[in-house]
Amino acid sequence: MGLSRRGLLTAGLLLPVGGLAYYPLRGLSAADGSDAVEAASPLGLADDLANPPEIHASDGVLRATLRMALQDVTLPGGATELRNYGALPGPTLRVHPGDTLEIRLENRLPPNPDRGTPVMNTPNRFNSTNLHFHGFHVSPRGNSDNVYLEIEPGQTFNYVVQLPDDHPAGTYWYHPHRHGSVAAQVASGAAGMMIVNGTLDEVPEVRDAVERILVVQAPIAVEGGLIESMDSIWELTAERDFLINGQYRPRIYLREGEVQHWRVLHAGDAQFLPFTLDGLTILEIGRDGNPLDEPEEMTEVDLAPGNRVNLMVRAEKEGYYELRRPAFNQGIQALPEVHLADVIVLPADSDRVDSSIPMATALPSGPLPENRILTDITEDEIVAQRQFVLGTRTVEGMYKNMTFTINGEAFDPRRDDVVAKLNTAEEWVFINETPFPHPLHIHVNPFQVVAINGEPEEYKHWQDTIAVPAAGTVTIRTRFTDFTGRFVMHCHILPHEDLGMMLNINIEE
Amino acid sequence: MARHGILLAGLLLALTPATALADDDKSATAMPEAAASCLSCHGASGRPVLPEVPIIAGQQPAYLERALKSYREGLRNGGPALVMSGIAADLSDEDIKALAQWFGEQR
Repeated sequence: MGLSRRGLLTAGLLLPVGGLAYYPLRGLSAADGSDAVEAASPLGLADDLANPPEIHASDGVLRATLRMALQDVTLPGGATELRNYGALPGPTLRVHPGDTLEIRLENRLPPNPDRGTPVMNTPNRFNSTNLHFHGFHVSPRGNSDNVYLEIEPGQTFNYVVQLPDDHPAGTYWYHPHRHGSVAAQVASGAAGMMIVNGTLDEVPEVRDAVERILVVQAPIAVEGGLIESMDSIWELTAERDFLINGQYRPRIYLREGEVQHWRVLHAGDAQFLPFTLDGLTILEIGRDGNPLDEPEEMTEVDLAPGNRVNLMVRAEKEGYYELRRPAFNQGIQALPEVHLADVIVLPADSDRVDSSIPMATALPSGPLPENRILTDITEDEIVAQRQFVLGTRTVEGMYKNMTFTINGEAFDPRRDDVVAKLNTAEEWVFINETPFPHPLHIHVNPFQVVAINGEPEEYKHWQDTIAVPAAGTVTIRTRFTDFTGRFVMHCHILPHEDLGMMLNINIEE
Repeated sequence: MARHGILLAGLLLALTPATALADDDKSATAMPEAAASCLSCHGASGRPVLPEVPIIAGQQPAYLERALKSYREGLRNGGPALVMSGIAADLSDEDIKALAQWFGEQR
């Protein structure tokens, strides 16, 4: 299955592709033994949105170098300088369950201007970094998905991440996770997609469809260049340029009757992304990294920062359509409509698309592949219940004289907030005492959403990031399997994380 | 405006009319200190922007008082009531009386 996908992408490369210029390859490279695929439109059209470049595992190992460095770019909002992996977005890393990722992370950012001991839970050292494998069910220890590491400017670190043989198939992503500089770096576009190809890709309708990658990022063109202070990104309403695969309002092509498989990642730092594509049929088949039990038809898809979704999109009729974020309220803040992309449906027999490009027309129906890790968590299995209150606290001398808190406390890396046993399951209630939603992300183990605002969920989605509504509650169940060690749970509105809305979970034998 | 900016601005906005009200009409009660934690969700003077948060401006003070005590004692629970039980946990009987009175007076 992985081979046919690879073959398809390679075939796309033989055609002239306009999107290449957006992906200078200086920030990334596939090392020995891994395959690199350049950016390309999956339909081979010059003005079609290109999938970002990819690095594929080969013989079970994906070797790549990610270089965190300064990038000069001109965004629609103006010329600026970003901290990222050399391109908006970084390369897509494609693996299979059981594969190993060997990632060399080079921090080529300049020395930090602030050299003293940083104050915990204030923005600091924007040039220090590390790497998080968002959604992966992998070890949080050592040189695996360990977000307590700090890779200083000039340093290089080798991550080795081993996926279990039965890892769910889906859409994941990587981004920096160093407390204090997370928001500044992710808001600069430091992110890329990761794909685990597996059982979901063996569903015939998914296998046969053209695959499209959509990495949504919302960088801010900071006047004068680099983000040197949280002030430039702090405002929720700061002017963010919504880009897909680094392009502003790109064109996305389909053929009439065609079904495409879209992997959508919301890699923005703060604003939510509800979106619509009126006139086309949309089936959701995966949320975060996890296949749904069966496809679900959607009229609007709602992504919080950090969420991903696998969609099967069918173009019903030739014409022009728009991918839009409608105007909405993020808590008590009204946010405007965003025109994300033009969607153009060509006639089914359009000679613009080479006849060698396959055209799938069937939508999947019925049950999607099951997975051991995503076995329903029943009430009988719950060994403990915990409650987490999300709030803010006035603390003089901190950034904006405040911290963001969970159960009244801001993050402290030395404190174990949750200690739990391996191979047990717990039920957690999140209570949001603020007038803004907070998307909570838990590392390492996925969780099942059982209730929102006390209303039981009819279908209990497996996710790794869930928006807790403003002045509302969410109940989840999570099972700690396969990995001991410490990891974190935090708000994925990243300025909130930097200001303290994060805690430590320690899983013991 | 930033999230917290809004939160704080919301508080300021809320404080301003309350103060103005007190200035204009000496008989009106000043906003109790404990109300600060209510306004970010329930809105300035008890009129919320959030669609799922109840309007408490002009609500019967006796009802508000009983509701707050019920939240504090855990008699109302589950779902969104968990938000309120956390907030009411630290309120004294006097705080609750003052809050109920003040929100009841808002129009």
